[in-house]
Amino acid sequence: MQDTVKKFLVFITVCFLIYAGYLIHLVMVRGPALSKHGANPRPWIIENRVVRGGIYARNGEKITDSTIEGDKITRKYYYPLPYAHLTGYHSRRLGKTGLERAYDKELLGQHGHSKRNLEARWGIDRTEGENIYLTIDHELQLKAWELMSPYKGAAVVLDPRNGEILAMVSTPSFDPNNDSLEKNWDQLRQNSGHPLLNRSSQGLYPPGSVMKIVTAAVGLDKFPQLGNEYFNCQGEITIQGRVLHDLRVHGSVDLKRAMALSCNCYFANLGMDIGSEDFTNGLKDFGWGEKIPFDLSVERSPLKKDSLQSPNALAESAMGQGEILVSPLFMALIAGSIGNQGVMMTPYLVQDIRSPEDRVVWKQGPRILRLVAEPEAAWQVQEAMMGVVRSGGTGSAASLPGINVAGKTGSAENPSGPTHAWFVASAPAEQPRAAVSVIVEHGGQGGTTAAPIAKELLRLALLREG
Amino acid sequence: MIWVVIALKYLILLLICLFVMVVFVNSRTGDKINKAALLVLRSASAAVPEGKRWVIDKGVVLGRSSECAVSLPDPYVSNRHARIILQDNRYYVTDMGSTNGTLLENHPLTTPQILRNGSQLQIGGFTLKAELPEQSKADRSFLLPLFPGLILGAGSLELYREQLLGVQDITLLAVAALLLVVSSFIAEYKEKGAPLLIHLVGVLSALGLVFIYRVDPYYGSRQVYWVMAGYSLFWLIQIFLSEYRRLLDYKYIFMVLSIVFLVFTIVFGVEAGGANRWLSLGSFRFQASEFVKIFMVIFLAGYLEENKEILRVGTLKFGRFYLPDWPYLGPLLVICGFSLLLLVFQKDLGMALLFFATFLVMVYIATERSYFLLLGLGLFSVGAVLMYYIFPHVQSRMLIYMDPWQQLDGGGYQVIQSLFAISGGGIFGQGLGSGFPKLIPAVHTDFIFSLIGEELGLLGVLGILGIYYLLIWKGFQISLNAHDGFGALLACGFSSILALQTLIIIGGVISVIPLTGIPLPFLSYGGSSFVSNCFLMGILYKVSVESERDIDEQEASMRAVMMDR
Repeated sequence: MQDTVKKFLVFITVCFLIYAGYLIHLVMVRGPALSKHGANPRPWIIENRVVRGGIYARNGEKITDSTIEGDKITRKYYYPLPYAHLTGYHSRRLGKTGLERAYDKELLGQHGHSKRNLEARWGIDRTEGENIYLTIDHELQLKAWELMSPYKGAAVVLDPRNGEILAMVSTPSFDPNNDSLEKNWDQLRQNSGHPLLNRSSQGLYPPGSVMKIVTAAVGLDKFPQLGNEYFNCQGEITIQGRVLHDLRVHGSVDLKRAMALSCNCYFANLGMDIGSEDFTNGLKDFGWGEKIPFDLSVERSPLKKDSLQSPNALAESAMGQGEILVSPLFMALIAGSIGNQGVMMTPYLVQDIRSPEDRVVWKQGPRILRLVAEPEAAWQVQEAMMGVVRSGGTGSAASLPGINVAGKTGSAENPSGPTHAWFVASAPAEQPRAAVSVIVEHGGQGGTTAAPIAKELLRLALLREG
Repeated sequence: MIWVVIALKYLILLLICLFVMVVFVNSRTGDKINKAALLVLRSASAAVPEGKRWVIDKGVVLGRSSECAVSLPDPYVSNRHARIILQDNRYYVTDMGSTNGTLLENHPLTTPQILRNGSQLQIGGFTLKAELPEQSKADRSFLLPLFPGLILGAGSLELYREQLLGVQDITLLAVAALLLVVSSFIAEYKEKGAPLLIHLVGVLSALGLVFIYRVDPYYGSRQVYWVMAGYSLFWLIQIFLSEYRRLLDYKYIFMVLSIVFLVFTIVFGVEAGGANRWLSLGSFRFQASEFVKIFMVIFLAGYLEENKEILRVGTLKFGRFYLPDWPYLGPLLVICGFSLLLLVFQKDLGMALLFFATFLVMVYIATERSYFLLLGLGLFSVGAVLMYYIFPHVQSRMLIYMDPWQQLDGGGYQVIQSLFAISGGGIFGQGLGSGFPKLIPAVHTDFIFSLIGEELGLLGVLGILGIYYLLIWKGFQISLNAHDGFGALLACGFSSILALQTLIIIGGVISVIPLTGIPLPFLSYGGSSFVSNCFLMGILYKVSVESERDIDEQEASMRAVMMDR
């Protein structure tokens, strides 16, 4: 009998260990997500004894704050439409999104163990939450909104040297102020323009010809002499019996010229030369299939293992059609990293968090995300992209007087209508201080619709930086 | 100001961690027996210097052969001469049929004898002295019995500061603290028995009181009375039950009582909390199944003890397996099936699960036949599937378990709020009095664990798990050391009930297994639960007391034999 007792005791011991392990998992791993869950009423109870912190732009412009009117605390968004997708909304009925959700604990002063936070947690006094300062340049953000608002689409401006997001808009937008939001909720949800969607980080689009930047960089990594080689474009290329048409016959082109003219045949051919394995690895190096760490959730660009096997799929992907998808934020990161000698910096939106006494309690700084290309290859691509913006290139509408701009146009074919107009660029091309990506849904040619917007944004971004 | 608040909020967590640590350290010093040794006083060989020590550990063989752990190279020593074995925390010495015999304290060994500290063994030309560390209660802890009082004190201070308690509540809590501490001291300074049981139960009861008061002082004050009643019952059992073996004579009475209780609940039961498990006597409701679980264990222990030999050998053949004859198997199946059926009709799924599992475990332990376990699990699976299709409430429980998020505001609400609470506590918790118990329905009964998780954090709940584990572990130790089969079965049945009940409800609350509402022993609010668990503890403690007395009596009789000589 002693044996069976001992066996059962072992069983009980194992059960207790499993429970302990599960509890640790529940608190340490699932805890953060559960505490932000929409169905968790606890943060809302804390809201009654904390004045929620505000959200401020780079130079202290007030975007959002909470005001007390009598016994009621109301959340006010001062620039509702341009910032809606960044701040998100904050409603007892509808929950929290955006930064309101991601930085809920900080805004409520529940993060950390400072005296003020503990007082807030234990309801000793009604205290104030912490304030969030963004990397966003307020004027640039408003400008981006103004330029984009006639269209559906998104624009992202960032500093490629450190990953700071300078502007990030998505159109159409919505008014996150509570009374308006709750009143229009059903309409917002059913609107075919999807105003609640943050296109800049969560919209996935086919990149069209802007993909040629990536193809060129991957090609240069594999064939260092690629820049000196010529290819004869006959206006169409036949791959396994399928004919891919180009806009016109470009004749003998090298990399720079193929980029400037956006020659499809050249890049389709280059993609096939790279081969499916190296091309897939190249995409992985750029970040396809990987998570982009960011203050807001980012839709990751998918990378399916078998999708690049056939020469046709490879050729299509190399010129930006097929199954390749990117978000505008990701495209801005790519454009920036090419200009930044192949170093992609981790993007960030929140510069620091300050206590109500204006003391910085938490700070984000530049971090390298990944190395996407050799500096030599990156510079050759950058040079080719400068040709795009010079006169005669497809993106000449984005040229700035006295400053070299490196850019690339794209017109992404899609099943639902006219092509999406893309433009990505960085300037000054030699050492970019700003990178931009603009997409206008169904905007036709990237060079005519998107490039002028990108130009304005670049001009203002460089001006603001001094 | 803030420092005072921090201290008050977390004092109770500190005490729990400290308590678990002290218990652990104490149990380590209890292991000294492993360092027992034999010391050479006189040697007959140059190879064995005088003063040499052999550690005995779990037992050794003494002899001339070099393969013996204690090798004594002397022609007067037989190859394998004598052996020392460890049993029930005692060392016994036996002669192994040696040519020249073994002398213990100058008396030749004929039967196995207890080896005591300082006893001298003579084997051939060797004289060996036994050095056994005293395992008596010399190192009584003054600290452990204080913990229930300290926890109640720390808890009531903070709850008073949070204005959750009145002066009257404090008085009641002080009385409860006194009762718990005095009980623990009596147990600690009593000569026999396992005082750790009382300390563990005391700490759990104190924590239960603090958190029940924290939810609602109305329930808290009632729970104080239940604690008093439970502890009184515990001591009454110690005083008036002369021998636990006497329960054996009444085993069929306990069986009949079980059935009567359950039938009464079905006929006169009152529904509360979705389960029809309450028996109402005027203004006083009690939950019969809590007592039936104990009666059932007593009956099973008695029945299995008498029939385990027969149950071990089967006569009915099913394929490769043999089952015992119906006259022996029948009563078991009838009582088990009957109580299960009643419980299921009461919608008391947690209790049904607990009964069935305990039944299975006891039969398995008593008969040592794993096919009973397999058969039981098979029956359980079939039964579970049937119940899933027959009873809508079983089905909804299962669906909630599979995906509580589907029913955020419906059936899944309780479990999800519990998960929010535990995960929201983080490592150290929100601090006592700073959680949100009102968000979880039934937080003072089935879901008290979630509240503790929220306010005392991961450390707190791991500490609680540790305390339960120690309690269960101690129960099984008592079972292993019990002198007779009935005592062993009683102790292990009660330990199994505690273990399974704890696992079933905590597992439900953290959503490891489907939720079936039963109280968490000693922590949850509930008079029936607390008093019946004290009853259980009383008998378990009784078994521990008597198992020590048995050893002492044996020793006394041995001394008498020696005197005769």
